[in-house]
Amino acid sequence: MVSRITSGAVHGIESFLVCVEVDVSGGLPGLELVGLLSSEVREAKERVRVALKNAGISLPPMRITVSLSPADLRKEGSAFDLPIAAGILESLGILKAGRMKETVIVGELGLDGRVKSVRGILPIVLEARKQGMRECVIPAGNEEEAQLVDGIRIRAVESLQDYIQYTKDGTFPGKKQNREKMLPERGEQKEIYDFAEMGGNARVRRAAEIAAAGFHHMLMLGPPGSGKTMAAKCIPGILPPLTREERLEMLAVYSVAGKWKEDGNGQGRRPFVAPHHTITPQALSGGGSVPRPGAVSLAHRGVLFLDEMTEFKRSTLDLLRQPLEEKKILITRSYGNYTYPADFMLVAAANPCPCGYYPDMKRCSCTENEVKRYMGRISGPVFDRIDLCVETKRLEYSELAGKEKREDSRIIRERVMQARKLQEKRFQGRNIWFNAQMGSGETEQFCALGERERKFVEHIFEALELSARGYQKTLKVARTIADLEASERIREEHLCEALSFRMDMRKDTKH
Amino acid sequence: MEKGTEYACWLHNIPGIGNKTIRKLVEYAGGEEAAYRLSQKEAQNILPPGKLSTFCKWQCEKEPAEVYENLINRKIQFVPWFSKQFPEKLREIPDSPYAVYLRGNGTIQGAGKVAVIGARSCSAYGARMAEFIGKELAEAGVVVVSGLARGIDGIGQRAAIKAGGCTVGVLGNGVDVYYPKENGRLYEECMEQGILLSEYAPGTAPKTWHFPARNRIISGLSDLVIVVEAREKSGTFITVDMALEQGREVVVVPGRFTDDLSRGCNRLIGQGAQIFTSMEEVLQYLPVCIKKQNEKGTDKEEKEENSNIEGREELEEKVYTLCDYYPRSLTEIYEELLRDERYRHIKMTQMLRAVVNLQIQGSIIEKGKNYYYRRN
Repeated sequence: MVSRITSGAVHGIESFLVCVEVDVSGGLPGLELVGLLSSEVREAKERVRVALKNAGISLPPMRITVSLSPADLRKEGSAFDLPIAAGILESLGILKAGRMKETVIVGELGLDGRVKSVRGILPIVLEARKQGMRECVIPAGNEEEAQLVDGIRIRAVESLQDYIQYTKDGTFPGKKQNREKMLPERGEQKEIYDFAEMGGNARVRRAAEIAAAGFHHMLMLGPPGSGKTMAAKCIPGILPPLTREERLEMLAVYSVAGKWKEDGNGQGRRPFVAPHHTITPQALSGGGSVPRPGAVSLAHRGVLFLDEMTEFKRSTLDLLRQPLEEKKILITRSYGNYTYPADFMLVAAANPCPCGYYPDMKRCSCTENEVKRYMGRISGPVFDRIDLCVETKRLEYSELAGKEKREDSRIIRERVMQARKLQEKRFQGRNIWFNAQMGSGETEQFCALGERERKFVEHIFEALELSARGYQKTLKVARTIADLEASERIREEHLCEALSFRMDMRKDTKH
Repeated sequence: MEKGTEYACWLHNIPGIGNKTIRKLVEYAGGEEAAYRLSQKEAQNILPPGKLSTFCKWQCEKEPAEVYENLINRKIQFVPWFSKQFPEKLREIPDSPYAVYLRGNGTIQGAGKVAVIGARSCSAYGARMAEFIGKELAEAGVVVVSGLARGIDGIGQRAAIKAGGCTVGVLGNGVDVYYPKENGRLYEECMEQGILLSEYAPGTAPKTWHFPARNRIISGLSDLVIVVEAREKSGTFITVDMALEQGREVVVVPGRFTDDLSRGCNRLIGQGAQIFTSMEEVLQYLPVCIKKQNEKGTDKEEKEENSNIEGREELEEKVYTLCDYYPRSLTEIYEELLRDERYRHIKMTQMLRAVVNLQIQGSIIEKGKNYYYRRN
């Protein structure tokens, strides 16, 4: 008799439903699996057989054939153990067939029958809901993650025995059902890194605020020990909280990456990913024969912090070009194309020269050429995407121990959110959300200047030898600064401030 | 052309045979031409086996007239020590070069010569001083001698060229080799109005050991050496030592105690070097002193002062005074501004506006991210 069970698998960040068919018939006894399977799926055979035995069910000496379809899509992962076992039980007549028609079942089996958690639950549950399924049976370890999806029943099982009992009479032994949904909204929780704890460096704080408000990528330049890393860590704390949609997107990536527990990202904080500069291109973009999300995707909707940016390999940094442009990364492997989202705010930090002290000639021992070459390590296209650049200063003791009252991140975040609201309104109906995303047409439309300001800019343009791109970036940053003050017009002082944050360290080294 | 020049040129172009060996050969043979005609057997007494084979090979392959003409065609002048054109001062020094190659339109005869030397990676202050000295010297009709290197050397010479003066670039490589490459323009300009000078045959690549030797020529050519900026340990001291050995006066531009780049200068002053206080004083050290531009100079200063004041608002003026000749960070300037009673309530944005305006006027320059220094 043929039984049918529905399960799910992930392909990149997407997932698809898989039909598991099991047939028991006469013939040479054995368990056969077909359907373009990777080796970990084929090994399910042994796990399922032993797990069934330890659950008290020994397989009869008959020929059991399991087919996973669609047969032309490659299936990976260990999530098919439980559906295969369920299928076998149904076709043997131990469980009633047809009861699980509208249920998606996933889970890995241990030899003792325990159900272990798997990667990619969130996308699978989302896909199940989309396909009109009513219920999902998932490993207990993945419950938290699956509960994020509304409108579908979640049944978390701890062992094969649990599953058998649940199918028989709809109860779980010794376990409370449907626990309260754990979705702690991000309210007044304390930031771990707060701008209030950062001494001095008012300029950096200001730059971070502007960057956060307009989603501008930013670069911090300064000597070692000037608080670049600290400032970067504080940035997630001033970004607006994730919306529900954004959270699901971000969590889906973490689910596929199998990083759910490690990062504790169930909290809804924006991710902060800080890869070390020795990172391989694969780890940054996503790698493996079946690629898992890389650092750029793990930073989706959050902050990607590149400390010591000039130390990164050029080829590695160049990978950022696609995500910076398209907000996603496309990885091609022999089994197909995988697309992962990668919409992050790039925060970079670097020393201005190999020794770190340029242009303080008292300390700097680098030649002009070394300084030029050092900055040249970052490729132009990546440089061009960065709107804001700020210097950091080594702190004096008095600043470190200073008692002056400093704003904490919560107050800054309020302002950032105000500015974001304005942008939302401005860009309604367009496919952009932030000032940083404006193209040249939009810049012209939304950064229109008054007569006085236009003259002023014209002047600056010539005197400071701004490039056309530098000019556009300055306008966008000025727009954000004006938004922070809720000013409709861009005024001269906004332009001045934006100018002080401009990026052009390529030509300034000559005397 | 003096007798023997062709032969001297031939000798000097043998690869791997230097100053001392040539002198020995000429002395042994009793003249340049005789040296050219030495048989292998005779030459054996002077040359070690390795050099002997190159010598003989050169004898077979090259004709003196051909070697010399080749240089003339390329507009490179060969000046052996016995030539009248050979700089008198250079002939006096210990280990004087056997010959030098010259290339360019300028002349090094006659006028007073001053070497302007200093650190390669100099500060804005050093750059400004080098520029000032180069310009003033050129206007006084003095030839500026230096190494056409990065930093002080190049800046001083560039200023001299710009002011229409003559300058001698002494090289550690052949006169047809540009090093450092980015100074290529400067080489060309130097040839327009001045001269490139080297004791190395054309085509010689720069080698590290050439430069200390080159330095003895810089000081040797000059009547006086001005040191603009030098760290505690600096190649500049090689030139200074040579200058003292050769009996040249050394004048040093002083710096602040805290500036690393002036530490070497201040030490020299401590050891008894002259302090650079004014251009007039420097010019007095020179044998023929041409002071033609005195009135002009004061005129200009006044004009500059005027341009400083004109059109600047009060806050801009204040910010300008807070800037210095070395780069200061924006935060530093801002904090100091706040310390002033009158400007205690100035906001950062207000100051930024002043900074931008000053930049537009060209009064201050940004160097590095948000570090500013004064232009004049």
